[in-house]
Amino acid sequence: MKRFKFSKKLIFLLLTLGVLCQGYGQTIQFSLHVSSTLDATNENDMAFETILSGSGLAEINLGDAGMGVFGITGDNDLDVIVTMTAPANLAHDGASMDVIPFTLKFAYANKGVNDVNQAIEVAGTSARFQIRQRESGPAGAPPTPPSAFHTPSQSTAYIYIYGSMNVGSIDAGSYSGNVDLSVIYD
Amino acid sequence: MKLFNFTLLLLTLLINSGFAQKQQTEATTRVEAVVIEYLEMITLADIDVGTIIPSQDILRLNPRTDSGAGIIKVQGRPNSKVQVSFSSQIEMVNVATSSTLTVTYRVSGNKDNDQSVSDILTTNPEIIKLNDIGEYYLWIGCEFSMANLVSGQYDGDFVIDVDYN
Repeated sequence: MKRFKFSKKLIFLLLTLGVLCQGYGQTIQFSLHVSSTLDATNENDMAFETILSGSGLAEINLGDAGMGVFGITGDNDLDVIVTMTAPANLAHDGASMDVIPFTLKFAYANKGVNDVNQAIEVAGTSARFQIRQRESGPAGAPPTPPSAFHTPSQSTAYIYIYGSMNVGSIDAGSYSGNVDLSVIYD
Repeated sequence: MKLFNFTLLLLTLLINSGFAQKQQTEATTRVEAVVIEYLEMITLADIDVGTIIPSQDILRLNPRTDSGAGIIKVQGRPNSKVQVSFSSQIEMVNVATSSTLTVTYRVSGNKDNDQSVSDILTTNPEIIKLNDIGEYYLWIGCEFSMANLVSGQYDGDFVIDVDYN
């Protein structure tokens, strides 16, 4: 019986110490985690020049004044996946049911400055890139996770949206549509 | 043992909250286009009243029958409706004496370039319809009194406006 009692106490003591030690250490390690921030802003709407009804194809090319611009601010070292959702048609802002078929293109610049000359065109509606492209050379060490003792430096990458529309014989007026940008850390 | 299980659960929750939290954000931009419709007028012939005979009391230039009627071609979207408004009466001024001459205008129209079957525009403004190639023709006639008319050159503007209806 004594041995049995001793064993129960010992087991309980060991469990308690183990639990306390393990729990204390793990709790400290993870409770200090600070999530990285990620922000997207609309810097400029996309606007075509005034156009005559029935005039056909109209384009805004990369670098043209009518481009739309998004800014994405996040950790320099992290990759993001950006996804564009664009309407197939621009709709009349008034009562007309006429529409303008619309095709979206986009490009990104991830060297820390809003410079369309550095933009890389994207095929499709989604792209993955580093918030700030690292300098040429071998890849560095994995980024240090954010914590109470380390706040990663951040930059802004820029998304340029442009494209074309086909203006048929339609009612005069203002036509518009929304392009949605979704950004997530990869 | 219950305490140990609780600790494992706690660790699991902490680990999940730390690693599984992916930051995501969204933004929206607007794409805009302004469409205008092509619509213009081309003067094909000015009004020509010809030689005025002093013995006439009133000079009438019939827009449907007189060859001196002014001609304007309206061009725009095929088969579209257009509102036409015009100066029905204006004061013309003698450039030398500043005496005035009241001129009344009459306008007829046709979707084809055929004056003889054109219709007098009875309301002002009036809605017309462009033909299937986007054209419509207007003939401008006028009428004014010759009584007490001072000889000389008279200037004045006949204004006609068109807009999509």
